[in-house]
Formats: sequence, structure tokens, C-alpha cells
Amino acid sequence: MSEILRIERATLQLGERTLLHDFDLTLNVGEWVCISGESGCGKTSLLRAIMGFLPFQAGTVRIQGTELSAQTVEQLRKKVAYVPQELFLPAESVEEMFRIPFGLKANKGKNITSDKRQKVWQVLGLNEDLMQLKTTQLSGGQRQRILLSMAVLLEKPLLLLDEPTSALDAESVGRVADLLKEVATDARAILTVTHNHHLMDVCDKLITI
Amino acid sequence: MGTVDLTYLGLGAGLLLMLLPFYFLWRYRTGLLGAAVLGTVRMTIQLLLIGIYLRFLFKWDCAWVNLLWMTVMALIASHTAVSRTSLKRSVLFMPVFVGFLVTVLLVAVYFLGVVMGLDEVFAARFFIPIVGVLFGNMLTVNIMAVNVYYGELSREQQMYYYLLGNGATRFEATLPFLRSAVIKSFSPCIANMAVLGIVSFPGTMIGQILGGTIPEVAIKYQLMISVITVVSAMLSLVITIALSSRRTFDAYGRLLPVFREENVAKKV
Repeated sequence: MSEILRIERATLQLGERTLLHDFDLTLNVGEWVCISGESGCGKTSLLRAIMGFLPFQAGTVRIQGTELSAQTVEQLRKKVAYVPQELFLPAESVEEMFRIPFGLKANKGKNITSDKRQKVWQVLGLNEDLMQLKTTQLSGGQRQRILLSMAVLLEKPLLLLDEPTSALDAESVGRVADLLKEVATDARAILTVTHNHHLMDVCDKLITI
Repeated sequence: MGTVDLTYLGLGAGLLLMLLPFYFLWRYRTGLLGAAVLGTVRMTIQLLLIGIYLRFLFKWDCAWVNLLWMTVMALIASHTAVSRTSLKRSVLFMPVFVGFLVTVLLVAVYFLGVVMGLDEVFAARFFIPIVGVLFGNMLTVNIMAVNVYYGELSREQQMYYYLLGNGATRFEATLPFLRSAVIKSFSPCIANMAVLGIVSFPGTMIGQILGGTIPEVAIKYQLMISVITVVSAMLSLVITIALSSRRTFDAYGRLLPVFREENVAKKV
């Protein structure tokens, strides 16, 4: 199986606190891994460290075989689609919201047709009319699913999702799980930080830290 | 037309007008009366002293002395700009200083040498007033822009890291904050330009007309002064942000602690 993400013997500290010590993780193509654990145990910090937003004190991170360093970080981030917790993008409309990640130089070549988007939105239970709405008219759940759909449509090899269902009801969580299962099979890998039991049940591997 | 000089008695009578804002600052219990009185006293003393100094500067008319004077002004302006933001001196001082100095030199030399066609661009009579006008405007715009840029970047780190995490270059990830800083600091400039001569009569033009210049000449100078103040504000802002960015992000694009300790403590 080809490897998308490999973390070896990583140590992560925040101030005086050691969050992870000698931590290993391998994520292969087609795999969906969930990370769970008590609040403040370092789940979000782990995601941030994979993208180089926080420094690992020891160990290595490789994405598709390339080691994360100051020289490679920009190149590696191009292989990632990331959804943080509770994000408000500075966009007036949903359409404008889409233009933010897709307008980046690294994503300019992505061919996002309305067919593709509709397909993803259908799985997530998002109505096509939402595209015409202002962002202030969206509910927290709609905003969260739209952000997730944007990450999926970026078609990056690695998806890093931080609590992607925190604002969703049980039915919507089921839909998100269906989508992520489908995405993982599409030559990609997903790492999700979550407290949601349904996601933990249906993912390929659960790691508790 | 000749210059109508103001007597010191006349100046005193003019300063008496300040009693009106002082009264309302006291009456409305704003807590600003002390600062306003001190500001007025400082302004009066500083201007009188500068008047004496400028007389010598004009008399000597030495390019090196004028350049030295410009450097002193840049140092004072940089110190003022840094003290009016919450950012660490080590992060902001040099970028602001270099931004001010480079901009003033380029714009003043272009204006005096190319636009006015002077042979001696560093002549005190022309160089010193132009430098003064440029510094005043750059200071206001830079303080506002730097506060907005770093304030929003710090408050909305989630957005900055979202963009980086989805493949943005550091320039792309900071662009929304840069855009916001430019919009907020330049909107007053643009609005002022749009109403110049209709709603507002700017100081340079009024000063020249009162000093005996014919209106047509005063207007031409005012137009050019408006242009060079906007150009210098933008150029100094770009240089300041570009240079300070080298000290505010590490090689991974992580935002380093840029605010002074006391401000961080206040925020907590």
C-alpha cells in the first residue's frame, strides 16, 4: 500500500506539557483514521504540527515520502486539504466562500464543476439553493458541511479534519461519514480529530491519545 | 501680493480659541483636558523652536545637514509610530525607520528634481518642508495600517492557518489582512482627495495663498503635494510590512509573538 503520511517517534510539547512522546502513525492510501482523546490532550495540536504550524520537538513527519522541513513545508501543504474547528471565512456569499481556497495559486488548476459539487453536496444533504445565500444566513451546521465539501473538492492526497461534525445532528453526521468513506477509497487518506462516536465506529482505524 | 505676518499678540489671540475645546473637554468629563492642554503647549513650544532651527537650517543650506535632519526626523517618526502600536520595538522599529527613510528620499528627490526641476534637490528651503509634509502623512497611515494588519492577523489566526493549510503561500495567506490594513488606512486619504477644493481647503494651499502666492500656483502645488503624500504613504507601508514580516514569521510561516508583554497580559 502506498503511504501518504508517516509520523515517526514524534514528541510534541506545548510549553512545559508533553502532549505526545515517541508517537508513531502511518496513513496509507484509502485509509481513514480518527484520533480521539480527552479535551486538551493534543489532538488539534497534532494536526497543526503535521502542517508545520507547531514544531515537533523530536521525530519526523513525511507526506508522500517527503520529510517536513522549512524547505519543504510550502510544497507539502499543497498536498493537504485542511478544515479547522469553527472557521468564519471573510466572504459575503457562499459562492465567494468557495473562491477563497480555489483562488489560491496552488489550487488554480483544480477543475471544480458544478456536477462534482452537486454530487458532494447531495451526499452531505446540502440544498443547491444554498449557493445563492449570504454566509450570514447559514446555520453552523451548513457552514461546517460547506467547508468540508470544499476540502473534499480540492482533491488533495491528504485530508486533515478537525472536529468536522461538532455542529451537526446525528443524521448529518451519518452523511459526513458516508462521504468520508467514499473519499478515502478515491486514492486519498483522511485524518480526523473527533469526539463523535459514530465517526469513531465507522472509520478504518481509531487512535486514542 | 505680500506676506501678512502674524504678530505675537495675534498668535496669542488665536491660541485663546483653544479655550473653547478645553471647556467642552472639561464639561463633558472626558478626562482629556490635561492631555489637550499639554499637547497645545508642546505644539506651540515645538513649533517656535523649529522655527528658530529652520531659520539656521535655511541660512546654512548644507545638503549634509539637511540629510542629517531628515534622518533625525525619521528616527523620531519611527519612535512615535512604534509607541502608538502594541508591537515589540525589536519587530517594528527598523522596518518603519527604513520604510520612512527610503520613501522620503525617493519621493522627495523625484518631486524636487523631476517635477519641480530643481538643480539642488537638497536645498533646505524646498527639501525640509517637503520631507516634513511626507513624514506627517506617512506616520498617520503607517500607525493605522500596522495596527490593523497585526491586530487582525493575531485575532484571526485560524483564517491565516486555514489558508496556509490549503496550499497558500505566505503572501496569499497574509493578503486578506494586508488588504484590510490598506483599505482602513487609505480610505480617509482617498475620501479627502475626492472632496479636495470643494469641501476642504488643505493647509498647504491655504498657507501658500496667505503667504502671498497666486491661487493658480498654490493649487498646482497642492495637487502635487496630495499626490506625493498618497504615494509615500503607500510605499512606506509596503516597505514596513515587507520588512517587519521577516521578523514576525518563522521559516514555517508560524506567527511569532509580536506584541509587547504588557499588551499580551492585558489581552489575557
